[in-house]
Amino acid sequence: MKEIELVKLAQKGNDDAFYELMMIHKNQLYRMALTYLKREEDAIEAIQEVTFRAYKMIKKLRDPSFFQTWLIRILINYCNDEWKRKKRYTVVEQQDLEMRNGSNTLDHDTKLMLDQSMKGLKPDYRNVIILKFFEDLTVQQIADILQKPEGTIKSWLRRALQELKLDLQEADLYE
Amino acid sequence: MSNNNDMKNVKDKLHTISPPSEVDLAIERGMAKGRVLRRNRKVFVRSTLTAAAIFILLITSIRVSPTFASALSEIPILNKLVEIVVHDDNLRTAIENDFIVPVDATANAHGIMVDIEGVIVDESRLVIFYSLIDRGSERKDGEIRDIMLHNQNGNGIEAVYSYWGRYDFTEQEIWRDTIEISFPLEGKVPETLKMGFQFLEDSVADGNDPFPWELTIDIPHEAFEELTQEFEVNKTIMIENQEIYIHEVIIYPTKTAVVYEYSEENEYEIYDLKDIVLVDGAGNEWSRVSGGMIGFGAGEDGKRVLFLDSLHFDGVPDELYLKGSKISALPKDKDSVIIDTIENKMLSGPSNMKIDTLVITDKMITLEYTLTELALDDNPNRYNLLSSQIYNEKGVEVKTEGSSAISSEEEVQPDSFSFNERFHFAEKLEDRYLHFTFYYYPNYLEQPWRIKIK
Repeated sequence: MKEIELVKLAQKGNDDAFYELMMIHKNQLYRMALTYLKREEDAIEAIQEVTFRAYKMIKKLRDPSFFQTWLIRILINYCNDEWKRKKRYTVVEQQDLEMRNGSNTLDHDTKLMLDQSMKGLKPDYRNVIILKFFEDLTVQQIADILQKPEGTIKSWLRRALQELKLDLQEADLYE
Repeated sequence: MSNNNDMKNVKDKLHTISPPSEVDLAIERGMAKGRVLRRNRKVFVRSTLTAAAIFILLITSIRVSPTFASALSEIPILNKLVEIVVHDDNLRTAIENDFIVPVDATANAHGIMVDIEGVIVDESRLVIFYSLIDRGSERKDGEIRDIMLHNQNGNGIEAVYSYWGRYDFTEQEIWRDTIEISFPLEGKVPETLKMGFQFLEDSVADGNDPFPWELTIDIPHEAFEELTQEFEVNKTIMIENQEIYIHEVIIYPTKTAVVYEYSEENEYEIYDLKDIVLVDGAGNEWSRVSGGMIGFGAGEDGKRVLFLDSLHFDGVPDELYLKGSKISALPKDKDSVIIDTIENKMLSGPSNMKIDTLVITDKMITLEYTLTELALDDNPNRYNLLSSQIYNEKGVEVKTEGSSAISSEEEVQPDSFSFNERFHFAEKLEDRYLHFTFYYYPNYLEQPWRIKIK
């Protein structure tokens, strides 16, 4: 069944269809949650909260073809809130207490690189970097997710790259 | 990460990650929470207390820690119970710590079985876990219309109680929920509790027996006696020249109570100590309870109560402070809504409050209203903003017999919130103008404060 049909069923209250949709998108959601939040348990909690919010709100999604965009937007909103909350309460957990050696979490070096890159970036820049470079989304998709004009997304990308001192071709940017 | 290769490495690493199996469970839990919310659109709040205002919090930010959820998924019945208390961290902790006491009491009538499965109890509240089971009932859906709660002497208990009342046996044949009974400071937990249930569709029709389902349960006092810890405070805090006196902090197993009072000299009517928290020497914080009863308004002695998360199962630390920075308040000359009961309209009130529907009958007023232009973090998180202390134009209180509030989760806009509140009056309404006062209003004064508790 096409995704769009599943979304329509889920909007009518079909739980199996909703579950299947979440299964389709869980890899990306989990990966993104981990990119934002770093810790596996925080990422799992994010998935739960995003599932909850999406389940609660799915009837309000006007265009079923925007399900993925909408889901990512919910996730980003959640992660940004968490990020602010952690900053405010300065939850210190530098050491990675229970880092697993499996393939489902970030290794130390990756985490360090991620930390360093995201540290100074303001949230808008962080969002576009993650969506563009880690998730390979187009400028138009990013504009849909963040609900901003494409021009804004492009200028955020440009400034974020300058801050990260990344050297990329303009063409790579605006595909 | 200062070059393109690093960026590429991070990306490659990220894309080799496969989600752990807990992710599937998290998705199931998220859906379960959503189902709880979908079916629980109405909450019934009733109070037998006369003076004290009641504060009930709308459950919006439900969270379940994934590790906890997975540990419990092995035990089906506990999991079911946890599912219905997902909005209350303290009850979840209590269940996790074996603080729930099993009860075995059932009553059958009209094809519906009421089964009391367990209780969580301390001096602040009694939470009854019950299920409604289809035993061949004729009407398959309905809701609890009323609950009778009597103590060992056959008298009504002095408390505030709330419950989610709906069931629909066409969807599932067992409906599990809780009845939460909150006791005021001087209140007493009954030795035995005699309960009667009345459902919307049965009822009153058969005349003689208003509560066809009756059950009696013994309350396990041994489970909580001597667990309450009290700390005298007796200190005054000042926020923008408004004085607040903190009497004491009481730690119960499932809640912490802060007992406080506002100075009568204050120029503002204060509704809430918005961001009050307990904090220990290491910076660990215990904040406002996440759902259910969040406090009591002023009793005759002026004392108020608000509830924070319990420290009981964490252990009470050596060093403990109370702190905050923000109160919700309105100037005392602008703190009421005036309703014209003949013209059926609002004459004055806060500028961002709009009446959607106003239904006035002889002994009842139903107000549906919306607050607009709120900042995003202004979500009042409450079912009711209006107090049941209502006055006529001479300033005489118009006696109410109770109030109820219905939450509507459906149509929430980001910057506006709607309320539906109903007031029952003791006598036929005679006054043309009624002054409604608030429990809470999203308008704030700010100044940080901190005091030592121990």
